[in-house]
Amino acid sequence: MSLARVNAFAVDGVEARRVWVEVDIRGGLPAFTVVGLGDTAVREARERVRAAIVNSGYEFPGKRITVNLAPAYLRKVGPSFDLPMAVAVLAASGQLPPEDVARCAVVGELSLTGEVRATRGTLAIAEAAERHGLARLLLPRTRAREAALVPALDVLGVETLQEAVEVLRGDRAVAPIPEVDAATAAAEPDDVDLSDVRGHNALVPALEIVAAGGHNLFMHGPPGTGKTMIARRLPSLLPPLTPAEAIEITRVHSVAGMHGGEGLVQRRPFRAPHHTISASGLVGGGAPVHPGEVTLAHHGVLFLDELSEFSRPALEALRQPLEDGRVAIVRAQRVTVFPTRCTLVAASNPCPCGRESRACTCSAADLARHRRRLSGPLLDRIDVCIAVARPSAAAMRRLAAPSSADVRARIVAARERQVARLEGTGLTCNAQLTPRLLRELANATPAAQRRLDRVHDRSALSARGHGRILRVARTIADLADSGSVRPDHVDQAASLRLDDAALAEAA
Amino acid sequence: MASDARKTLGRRGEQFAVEHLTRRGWQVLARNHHTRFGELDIVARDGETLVFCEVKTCRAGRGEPWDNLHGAKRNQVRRMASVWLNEVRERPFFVAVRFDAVGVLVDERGHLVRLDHLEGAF
Amino acid sequence: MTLRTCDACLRRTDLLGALAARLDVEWRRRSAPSGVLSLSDDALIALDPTGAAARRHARFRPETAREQIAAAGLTATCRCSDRFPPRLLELPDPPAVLHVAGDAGALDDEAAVAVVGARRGTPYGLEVARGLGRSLSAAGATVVSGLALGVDAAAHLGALDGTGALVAVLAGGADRPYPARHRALHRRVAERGCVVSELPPGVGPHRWAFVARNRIIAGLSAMTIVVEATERSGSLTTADFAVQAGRAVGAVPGPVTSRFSAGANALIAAGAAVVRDVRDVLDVVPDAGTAAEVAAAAVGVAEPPEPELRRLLDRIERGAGTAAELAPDPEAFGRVLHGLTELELRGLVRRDFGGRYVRALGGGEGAAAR
Repeated sequence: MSLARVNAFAVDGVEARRVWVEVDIRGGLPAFTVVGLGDTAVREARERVRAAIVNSGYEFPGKRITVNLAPAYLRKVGPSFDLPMAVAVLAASGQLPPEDVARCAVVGELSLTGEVRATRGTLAIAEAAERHGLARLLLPRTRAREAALVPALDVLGVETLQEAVEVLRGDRAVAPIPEVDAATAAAEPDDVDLSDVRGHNALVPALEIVAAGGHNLFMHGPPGTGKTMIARRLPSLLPPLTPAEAIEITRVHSVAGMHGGEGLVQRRPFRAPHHTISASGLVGGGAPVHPGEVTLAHHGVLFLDELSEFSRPALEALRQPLEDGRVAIVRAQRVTVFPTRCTLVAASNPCPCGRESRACTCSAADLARHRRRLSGPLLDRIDVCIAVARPSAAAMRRLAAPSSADVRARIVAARERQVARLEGTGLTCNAQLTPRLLRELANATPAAQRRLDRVHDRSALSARGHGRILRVARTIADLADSGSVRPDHVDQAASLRLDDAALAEAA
Repeated sequence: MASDARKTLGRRGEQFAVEHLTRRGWQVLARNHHTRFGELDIVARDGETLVFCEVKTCRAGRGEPWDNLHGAKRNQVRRMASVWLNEVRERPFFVAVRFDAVGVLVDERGHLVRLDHLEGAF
Repeated sequence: MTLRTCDACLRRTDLLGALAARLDVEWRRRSAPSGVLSLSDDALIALDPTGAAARRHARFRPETAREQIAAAGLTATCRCSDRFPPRLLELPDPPAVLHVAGDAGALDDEAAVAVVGARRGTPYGLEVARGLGRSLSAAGATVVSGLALGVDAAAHLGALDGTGALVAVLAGGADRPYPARHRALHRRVAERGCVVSELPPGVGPHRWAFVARNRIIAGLSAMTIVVEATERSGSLTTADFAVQAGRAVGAVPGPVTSRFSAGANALIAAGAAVVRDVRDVLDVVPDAGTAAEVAAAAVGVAEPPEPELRRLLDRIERGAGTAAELAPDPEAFGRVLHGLTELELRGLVRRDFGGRYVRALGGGEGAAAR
């Protein structure tokens, strides 16, 4: 009887959990059983493992082989246990010295010919391996770059089972981590520049305000007016990614199977789900639990076009995650928490007929019905609202526009001022200001307060509406490098407000 | 000082555990019930089953909650359970008794990162 | 002063209420509504072949009717009474009984003004109706309408902002707000004036009754103004009744490209007075309000003195409503936003739901009619 044990990892939520792949080989009628709560892919591993071992030139023991994936209560999903199983079988059958697999984590799918294929969640696995005190990680070479983001880990990227065995035995040096494929890097053009937004140049300042203060945005306009194009420019205006943010995004995208293994994600995500998406698609769920769009937009932008067409349950599900910055997916046996801190951009047509205001044929009742379909509580999270119209031909011809670089410089400066002001509060931008902090830190001049009061009276603002305008005014003041909020800043913010009466109308 | 921090951490974890059980429709009968062998974290009712829950909390990144649920601890919980059954007369009738474990991972701000509930853990 | 009703009028009204459903059929058979309302009691009874109406008529007890009226919180006056508004008698078929919720004194204003229009109007129509109601009421005029969706409600809401009295005429019983959504409005109108009906309390509205009540709206008013109406809008019947009763008719013009204003525009083409604001109304009915109060309530169609604001306002009036359209380049953005808020605070523009700016007709606090 021989026994071997190999460290593997299972992705759960946005992190990885340690799994022991234990192999027991004893005399008896040949059998190959896998136990330990695996899904279909795990059970089918038997075929792949057997074929890969044989086709790689190793001996498949003709004995009674039992593979156990421990702990039993953890659900194992997917084909990433193929390679650890094969390695464990080889170790248990004496073809690989057990000490060679000690302190080494192994993940990877196997093809029938013994090729090692990529799996999801590499960064999370690498982080978990390091956390558990493992020194080495054996994994598909295409994912090596991603795993290398964890500094203390010795990354062994391999392409075949045979290579894996030889590397473990020490007979072969591990191949260097592949460079980022130049072709794939060029395929993603470095981002969209603001000057591309022909005809909407005048909207750039509004985007600047939104990006500088971290505010959410609502765009109102007929179809074909470039709302999506404008929204797509927003991630490039947000401040550059901090290393911690980049790691978080990489981890999430890797777990979702979106990341091609190119290493660190360099750009803030932009997610634009179609309005037919379900609640679980938007915030996460399912079995096994997968992250939703709002998590994939973490540290980036979530764009909801045609807000009125989204289902009510989906929009309701978004409320708490947008407020808390995280969402907890609850199952009977487990609660998984995903991060959800993102900027929300919502867009809607002004009315069902979709024509511009002069040509609009909708009655007031049609308009009211359409507005009711927008989610009031979601709109309540939005500080800035702008109307978008089809640009005139003259506007389209205008070429002068600030480049993203100029605008970004102003935004970064404004953010720095906010960070300095918010030191010690745990917050990082004006959009996060609570009512109490807003009162303490806004620093509005008495004239500005009076101006805000006038606006309040004229348009029957609620307390929340009042706060929204003040938050945005604070951002505008920061962009203008003004220590205090002045009446002019209040005016600009008032002109960008989301009307409270509108919220009362939206259900 | 360190033990105080551990205590608060433990309390947070228990709170998350209680919320989770309540969400599942369980009825929590007792929390931190003191016996001469120690404290029972949670005593609850799942239908007709009486469940003794041991809650283990730890900071994300610093190990796993189960690291401290070793044999001696399990025996302690069993002993405390029988004390509870003897002492507490005012309780509904139960068909079965079970021991569960709840592992809670918490981040540095005290927010929930993950919760695992193992039924019949020991 | 207590209101009196005579037994005969109460009996007839009870008959109308009981036959309300059957009258819908009769209405459609005859071309003129007055054909039905001018029928004698016996002729009305004859409309019911089952004889139930005849029996009811024979058993009718006036005291029971009066008790029911009081129980519903209403008062009532009949056309035989000297408290009955005299100008209603000028109609060919004045209502037998007027049931009143609120203060009947509001019916005494000889120079009341009716503001009516489509149920499904555009924001323009609602804005104008509300503005008209507001400025008329500020000038002291009594504003009359039908509590319906759209223009009627906007006119009532605007009038509530002023000091004048309000009157709403319903198709069903005066105690039943119709539509149900306007329950609160019903209460407010009754507090600031009265809600009336010719049908007994508790009766639901029927189709013939909607047209019938329009004649009462016209009959109570010195002038009927149609704010916005499609070519086939029911509010045009109110204008017809006003003409037949020899009262003034006015209409608010709308864009010739909008089918929602086609009816109102047609009235103007047929000779109705053009009503742009309260001053046009007072030109036709000087007694409706006082000029001094009007001047105070006059809405600034006045231009702002600052050239930059004037330019902004011009462009908004010409259709550019979004900040992007109004700001020629990004540098001007901040200035434009500042100007927009200034114009908004002065009541010259209004910011709609999505952030578009449109010319406004001023008014007090609170969102304009939507």
